[in-house]
Amino acid sequence: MIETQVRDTLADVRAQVPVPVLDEVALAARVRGARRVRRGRRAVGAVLVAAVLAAAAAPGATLLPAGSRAPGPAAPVPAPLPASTPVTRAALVLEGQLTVLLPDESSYAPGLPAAAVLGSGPAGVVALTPSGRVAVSRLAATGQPGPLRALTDGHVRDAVLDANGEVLTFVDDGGDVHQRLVGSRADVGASGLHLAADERLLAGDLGRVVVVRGAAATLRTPTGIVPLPTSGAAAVSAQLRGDVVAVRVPGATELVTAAGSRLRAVAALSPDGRRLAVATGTGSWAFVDVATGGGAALDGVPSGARAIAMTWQDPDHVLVVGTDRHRPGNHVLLDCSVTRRACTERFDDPTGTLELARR
Amino acid sequence: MTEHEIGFGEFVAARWSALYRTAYLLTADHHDAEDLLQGALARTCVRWSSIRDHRAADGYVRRAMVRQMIRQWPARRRELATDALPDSLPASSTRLGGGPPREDDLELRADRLVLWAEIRRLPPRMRATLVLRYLEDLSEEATARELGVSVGSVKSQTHHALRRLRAALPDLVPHVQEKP
Repeated sequence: MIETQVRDTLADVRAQVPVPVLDEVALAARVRGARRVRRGRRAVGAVLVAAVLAAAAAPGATLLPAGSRAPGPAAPVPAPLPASTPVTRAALVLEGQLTVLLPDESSYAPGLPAAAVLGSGPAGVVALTPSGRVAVSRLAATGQPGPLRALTDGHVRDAVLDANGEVLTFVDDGGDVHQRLVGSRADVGASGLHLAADERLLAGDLGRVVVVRGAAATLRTPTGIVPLPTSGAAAVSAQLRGDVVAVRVPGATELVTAAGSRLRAVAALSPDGRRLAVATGTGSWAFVDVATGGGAALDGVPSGARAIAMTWQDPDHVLVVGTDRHRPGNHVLLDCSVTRRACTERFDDPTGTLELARR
Repeated sequence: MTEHEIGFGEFVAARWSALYRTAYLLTADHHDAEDLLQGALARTCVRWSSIRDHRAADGYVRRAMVRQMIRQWPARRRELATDALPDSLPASSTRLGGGPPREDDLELRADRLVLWAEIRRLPPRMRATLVLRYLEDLSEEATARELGVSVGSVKSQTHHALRRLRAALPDLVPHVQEKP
């Protein structure tokens, strides 16, 4: 058998090869060279991402109705780096239960059933229960979730949390839109908004909601309706941050700026709407300054990773759930930092059920 | 978090010899082997913090070597066996119990030297496929991942490599049955 002879020959040669002494000076020089190359590649990656955004961002009419919000920045001004923060707790749904992952990679899963986590805010973790109610769980100082306390009286059709985790927007079974502060069971005034049976609520903050009907997404306020110029694919979810809306459609995210431009990627806006976390299908992950288009590529992304969804924890950290072709069937949770310009893996979920908060 | 995080220097000190031997089998040249390994180690060093399991960093370095060798291949000279062959192959691998080599031991060692000479003449991608499949004992799927090619390509490379070796060495004696 030639295969056996090849195997034996290779094994014999390997055993016989004289091994030179490690040249530490040469290796140190190679390491310095590799670092220079890597820095260069990161810079090129940032330029490419910036070019994508810059190509998509052209001056045009404002998206928002007059008087509803201040217009976008008149001149590109780089967003200042946020203050560096430590890794924070992450509220997730794992195997149908509310789970809080702690910075030391331990977790609490006290058996609270949850269909989805809408987000976290000062009042705790807001979740949608399997029975279709919205409830909040206050976290103890240790991060342990307390019991779920209902925020809505009955079943809701849709519910979303704003960027800061403070304003809950939900649609009751009759189609009326309610907005209330998390922790309160009284609406913040009357929204005056009503959704038809075939309309879905995708995002909302105080006084504004993003709604989808079929393939048409709109931004609604008590004073008007603004069509969002997406590509026509049915929207799955949306983020409303400042003067930018990110609409997620199957396989892509459409970023709608004041000019109605789009960006094909998995992306998430920072809580202030000034920075975009972008994960392209080619494995290039970056933070992009929405105002200037300046980008910063990220280190630490596994070579086989593909982002599914992402959500910001605070202005410094964004959580990304993705797949890894080297770990088929698993979901991997990465924590990416603006200030560190790097991602670290926080959780490897072999069940493939890990989902992020929707906010 | 492991109890004892392995540092890069510690890893290199422990694995240099084994990785060098693999590099030599991939390149069939001492100078190229050292160059290939140094480059792969340098790239591993700058990514050390993002490698999840440092105890399994061998695989990372090996993949870096294989990929780099394949990338370099089109630009490199056609492989010629100019490097010195290992002086001899270890008798212990062919003769249990030691003692002076018997005639069939010498014949076996000669066959392996000839076979190695032919393996060295294979294109790098074919040689890498043989090393990964038969020495590292990787499956076809794992070999494909290491090389960054399809499983079909691994099958094809293996088939053609073995056919070349059979054609070059039609008189190679099957020694498998002769082992005590």
